[in-house]
Amino acid sequence: MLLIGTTLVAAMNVSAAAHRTSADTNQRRQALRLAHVLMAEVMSQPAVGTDGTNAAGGQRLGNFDHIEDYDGFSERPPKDAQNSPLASSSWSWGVNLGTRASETIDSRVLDAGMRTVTVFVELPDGSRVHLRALRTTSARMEKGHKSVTQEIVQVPIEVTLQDGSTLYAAPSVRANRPPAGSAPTVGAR
Amino acid sequence: MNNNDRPTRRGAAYLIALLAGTIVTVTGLSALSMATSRAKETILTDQSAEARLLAQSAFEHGLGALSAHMDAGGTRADLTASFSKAGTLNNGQLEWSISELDGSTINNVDGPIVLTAKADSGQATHVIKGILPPSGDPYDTLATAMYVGGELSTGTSASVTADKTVGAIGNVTATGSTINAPVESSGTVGGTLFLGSTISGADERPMPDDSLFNYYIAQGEEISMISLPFTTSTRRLEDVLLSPSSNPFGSTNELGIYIIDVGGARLHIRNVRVVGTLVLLNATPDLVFGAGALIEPAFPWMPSVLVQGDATFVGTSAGPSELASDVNFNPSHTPYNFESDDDKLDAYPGRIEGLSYVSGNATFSQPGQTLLGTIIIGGDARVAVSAAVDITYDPAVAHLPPFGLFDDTEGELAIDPSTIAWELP
Repeated sequence: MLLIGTTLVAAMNVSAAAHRTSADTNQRRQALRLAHVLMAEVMSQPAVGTDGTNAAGGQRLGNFDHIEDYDGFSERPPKDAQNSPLASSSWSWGVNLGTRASETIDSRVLDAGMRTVTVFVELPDGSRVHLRALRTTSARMEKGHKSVTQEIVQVPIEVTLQDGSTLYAAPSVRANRPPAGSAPTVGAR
Repeated sequence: MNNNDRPTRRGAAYLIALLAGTIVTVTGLSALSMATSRAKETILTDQSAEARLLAQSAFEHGLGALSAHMDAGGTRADLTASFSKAGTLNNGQLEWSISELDGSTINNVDGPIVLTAKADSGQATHVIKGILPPSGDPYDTLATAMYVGGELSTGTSASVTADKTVGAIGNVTATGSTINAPVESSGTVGGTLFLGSTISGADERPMPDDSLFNYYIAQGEEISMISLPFTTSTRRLEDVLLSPSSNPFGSTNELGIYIIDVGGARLHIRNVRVVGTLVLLNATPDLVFGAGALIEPAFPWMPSVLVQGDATFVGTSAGPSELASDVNFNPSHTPYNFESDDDKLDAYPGRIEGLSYVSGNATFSQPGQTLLGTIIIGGDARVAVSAAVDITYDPAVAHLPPFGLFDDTEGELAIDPSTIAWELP
């Protein structure tokens, strides 16, 4: 009887552990997915905007026009740039910007003007997933590029595969500027 | 009850319980295995996403460091292979470095450089590359659709249409013709008919120095004039695709710079697609840009046409035809507007895009010549009777000005966003 009982308890523990692992993995996946979505949005913004306003809490699309607008941004629940919720109100996310100190490069001390972008996603249990990246603030190296016929923009995307896994990317896309009144066409690079 | 039955029943109960326990155990282990498998997939996906983000961070850091280098008074000439950085971020490693276009160690103080960023996270690796051409403050000349170092004149019934300034250091004279553009002259503006604003006595805009040819010659690939087909006393650049990946006359050039020493002879350029820079030396008015030519720079910071001498333009708005030329003008290595195919059925617009520079005189002698960008003419420009020129200005020419058309005193670099690409390691 002792052997049977031990076997059953062990089996149930294994099953419960598997279930917990799966649930934890799914929540972590969702948190990372959200973090990458917000990070792609921040990284695609220009270093220099047309104003110094920070419209945190409002609709980001149209209000945030450069990376500094995101400093201190937080939101519950996470919403996309058009203000549509991406998760339940038990989730939240936010952005903090820091400044990277001067550093030695090729025997020279240079201030590369780097901002450290930290995106956090808070899970329903209060734990947080952090994602960090570097972004130059040099207007000299601004990547926005416009021409008469084409404009290059960076578009954050996510692709859910049949097996349930998700791929993230922020590809640069060349949008063909159409004649007035007609629809634009795009081509991924 | 038969006492002999008790052990048998007890044994059956043990067996059933053991079987149930085994089933539960196997189920649990299977679930754990599946969860572990999914977790591994998740980790790989996470690592890939993180490696991509780290590579992007490394690329940003490289751009910031190059910018800081120039802000501190450094130039392209100061850059060595040691100008690089490696570090860690999140759970990965990242690094960036600079090189020549072909990946070799930096040695061309005037040329573009390549910034390469690489990042590893677990088993995932991502690489980003981008080209930084030499740059600087663009000449004001690039803020015009057409600028003429000498005089600009138009004949009867001729027309010039542009959405940006058409200017000349010399006089601008229209004779019974139409100039539908803002017009400026450091001399006088006279005649009829000007549909836009006119300014006389304007400040001169800077003109490129002829030494700019040396820069492009040094980096280009020569096409021998005698290798071109010769009919009716004329060499012809015709029915071919020239690009960084295509040169039917010899080796390709990674910047798409192809040099032809015209030597004062007759050269007719028509029914051709060029994605690159045509450098045409020792040219006379017998150098003719004809019908069916689509010429565009390989990179936005490169010119499309450089003529040392004179040129005649008789282009048409109809461009090259694959059917007529029996040439595929948009193979996979040289797509057109992101599209490529294997057929010979496509037709293209006819125009010259980007920056065109003619150091001598230029004549537009037919209706239909179309340009998208800026044309600079060092000598006189003449739009002949009943001829027409249509120019759509492209601010990209000034955004990343070609070498020779910016103030180079600071030896700056700029990122060409159209070249930023992810590469599989």
